[in-house]
Amino acid sequence: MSVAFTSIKGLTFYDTRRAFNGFTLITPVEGNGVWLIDMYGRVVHQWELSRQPAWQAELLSNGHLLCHARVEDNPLGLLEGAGGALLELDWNGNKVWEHKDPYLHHGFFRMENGNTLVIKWTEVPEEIARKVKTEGTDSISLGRGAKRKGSMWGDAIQEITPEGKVVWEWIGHEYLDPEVDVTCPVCPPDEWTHATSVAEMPDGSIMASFMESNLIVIIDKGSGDIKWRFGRKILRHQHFATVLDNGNLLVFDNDRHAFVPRSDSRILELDPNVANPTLERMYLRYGAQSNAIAWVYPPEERLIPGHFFSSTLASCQRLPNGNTLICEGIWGRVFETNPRGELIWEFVNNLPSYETSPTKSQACMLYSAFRYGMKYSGLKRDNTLPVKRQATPGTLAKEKAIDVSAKRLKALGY
Amino acid sequence: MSNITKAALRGVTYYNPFKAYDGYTLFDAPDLGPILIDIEGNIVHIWYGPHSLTRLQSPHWRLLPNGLLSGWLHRDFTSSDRGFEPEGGHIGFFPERSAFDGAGDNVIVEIDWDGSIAWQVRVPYQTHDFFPLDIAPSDEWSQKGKGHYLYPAYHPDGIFPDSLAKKWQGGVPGTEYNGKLWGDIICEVDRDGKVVWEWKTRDHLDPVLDAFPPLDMRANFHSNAIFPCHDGTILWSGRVLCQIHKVAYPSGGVVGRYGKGQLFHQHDSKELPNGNILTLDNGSHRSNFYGPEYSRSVEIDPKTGKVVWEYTADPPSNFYTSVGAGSDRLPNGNTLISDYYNGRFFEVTREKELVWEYSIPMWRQRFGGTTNMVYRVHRYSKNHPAFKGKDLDPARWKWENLVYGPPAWKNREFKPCIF
Repeated sequence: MSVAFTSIKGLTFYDTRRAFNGFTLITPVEGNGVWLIDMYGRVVHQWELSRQPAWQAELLSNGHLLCHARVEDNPLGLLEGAGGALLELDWNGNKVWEHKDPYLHHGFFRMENGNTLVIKWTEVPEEIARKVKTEGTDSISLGRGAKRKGSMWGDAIQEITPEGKVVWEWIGHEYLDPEVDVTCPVCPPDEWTHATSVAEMPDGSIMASFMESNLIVIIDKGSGDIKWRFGRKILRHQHFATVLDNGNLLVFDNDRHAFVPRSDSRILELDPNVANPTLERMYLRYGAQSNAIAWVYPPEERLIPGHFFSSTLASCQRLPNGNTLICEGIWGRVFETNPRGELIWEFVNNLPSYETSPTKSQACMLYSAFRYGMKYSGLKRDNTLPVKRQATPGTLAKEKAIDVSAKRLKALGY
Repeated sequence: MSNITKAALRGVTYYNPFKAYDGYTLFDAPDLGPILIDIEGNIVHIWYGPHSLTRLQSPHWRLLPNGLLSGWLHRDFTSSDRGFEPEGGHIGFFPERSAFDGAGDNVIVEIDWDGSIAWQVRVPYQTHDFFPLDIAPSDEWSQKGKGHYLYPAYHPDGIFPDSLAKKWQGGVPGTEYNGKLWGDIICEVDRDGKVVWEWKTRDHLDPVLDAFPPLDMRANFHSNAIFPCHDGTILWSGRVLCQIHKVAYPSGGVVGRYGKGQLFHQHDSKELPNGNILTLDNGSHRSNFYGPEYSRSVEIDPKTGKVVWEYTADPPSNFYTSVGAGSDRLPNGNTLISDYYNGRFFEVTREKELVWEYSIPMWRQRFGGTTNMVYRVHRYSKNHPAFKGKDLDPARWKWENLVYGPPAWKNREFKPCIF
């Protein structure tokens, strides 16, 4: 329990003129719901999944929700980020499409042509796995850490059609270099790269972000070769990367397992046109610098050490008015900031989660948050849809949640 | 303004008068210097001195039985108008601040109730901690070393010879400082400033048992705490080694290592009256673990090496301080923890119940930004000999309490800012 950091919830700050007004889609860690909230933190719509969301959810322009859900009896269920099923639900929660594959994990990307890019675990052949180096010194020779129990898992990216047919595949261990694209000696030894995000660039190449290797690559779709590499010794276990309209990348650099242990996350905008990214100011605080970094949040003049940090769950999104929406997942905090780093809107998740661990629901952790503007075609305006729950700004929601008894909520303190 | 939820609540944010240990809390308030607050957050004393515009800021202050306040002062490299100018000028400092944090041309001072410096000793290359032997737990220490101080340092005299540095395993290759592995030393200094005992890591540590963890810099072992024990040995905490060492005094041999695989970049290890070791396991680079990072206060039984008590927050990620911090066991069994990186103190019972929390209301420019971080905190009983005959009326500090005390933050309801 930490009163100072967890008591203030709901909407805390809102600059109505400078915010990108619209609705925010949030995916809580616990429970089966994906919520759509308005700028005052009130729930205006929700989807109830039959399974817990595994990572991110996206509202498509036709009003469907596309998300990645967990599957029971997943052989890889113990690995972090495991999912197993991509679900597309219509506005009312009916399943319209599903793609099941127990090796799916973390993020996905719905392309313009209707296909979907997905991330899968693949077994790395033993002769390559043996050659994979770690950053710093490897733990096994130091007599610390755990030995790998079975195979080493690498990542593959597939492009699948709505029928489930694989039309393009890229297998990581065929193109990554085990000596250059190192893994992390502190993380569990079962994985090499631990991809979390994939996206299509404006020119058709594919961007992939590998957390454990601190690596972002841009892949030429035709040949599969890596056109651009960034991140070793600069990124610190980034958990989310996305592509902007101008071709730049927006990355949530978490600050985990860095050379200088601190807790200062940052959002980086990277310019992939910089052919050979430099590496400057290493081993100092706040992460290394590079000439490929076009924008950083927080700017140094607004830095409060320790105030912006999420060791795992994270997402970031560039909004049409130039602001950036950031989800500091472990604190359940979503905020919007302008290019100068000023706070424009801030919301701390105050919606009770459904079940299991009451301790996690205390923190109301979020996997991701995305904002959709007032005119977004995916938002269905239906006057018959009631507002499911009202929460006055700054207080906890008082109504009964679906599928949770009043007794349970009372026990949680609502 | 960036994170309202972490900055909005100030002062005492939680207080259970039945379970908290009532006493005075001593810490180094940013911009005010060493202050004493009561359990409700009223400022009862500030050690203002003749240095009225330049506060004496030490990461760690301790009260001595004779009533003097002792601390260590160093020049803060990021803000030039704070700090202390030692006699004879500076003798040099480390620009690579991250590995040699805190070390420099430092001074240990004892100041009296009105803030004037009663005694000072120059301790070049000292870092992170200091221990006045007057408050050591056994009479043997405090009588033999009356008025002496123990402190860790990154001293050029402790630099490892190249042949030994090559044998030392671990760390990121090529990160030695100017090509040299500096290592750490512990010094004992007497009242005249003479170093009467030294312990060098290069003479007593083992290249395999005390190897660097995989991602750390091969510059030093980052000493952050020393504590003289009942049995005449010294507990030494080198954060980088992720273990606590017990060092024989004065022979210097390592007689025990605790916490390997359990502690990750730990701070502030000390011996409790019951013989166990209390330390704060920061959790940075916690190995083999994908979940959200967390810190914990840990009590280890040195006879078995096992963890006999630990405190983690609920959920654990609510308490995570990557570096710094400290914990103290209070006479009623509670533990007072300083959550360094997040700018707060809190007290928990053995049953891990929060009974007191203080979000530090004072801020200053540090580390290239604005912070309210405070390294160490102590709580003293109201009957402590240093308070005998002293006026601890908060009304003496009316202006400071209006700005930093209960009138400033008590009964304030948070209202969201919408405009």
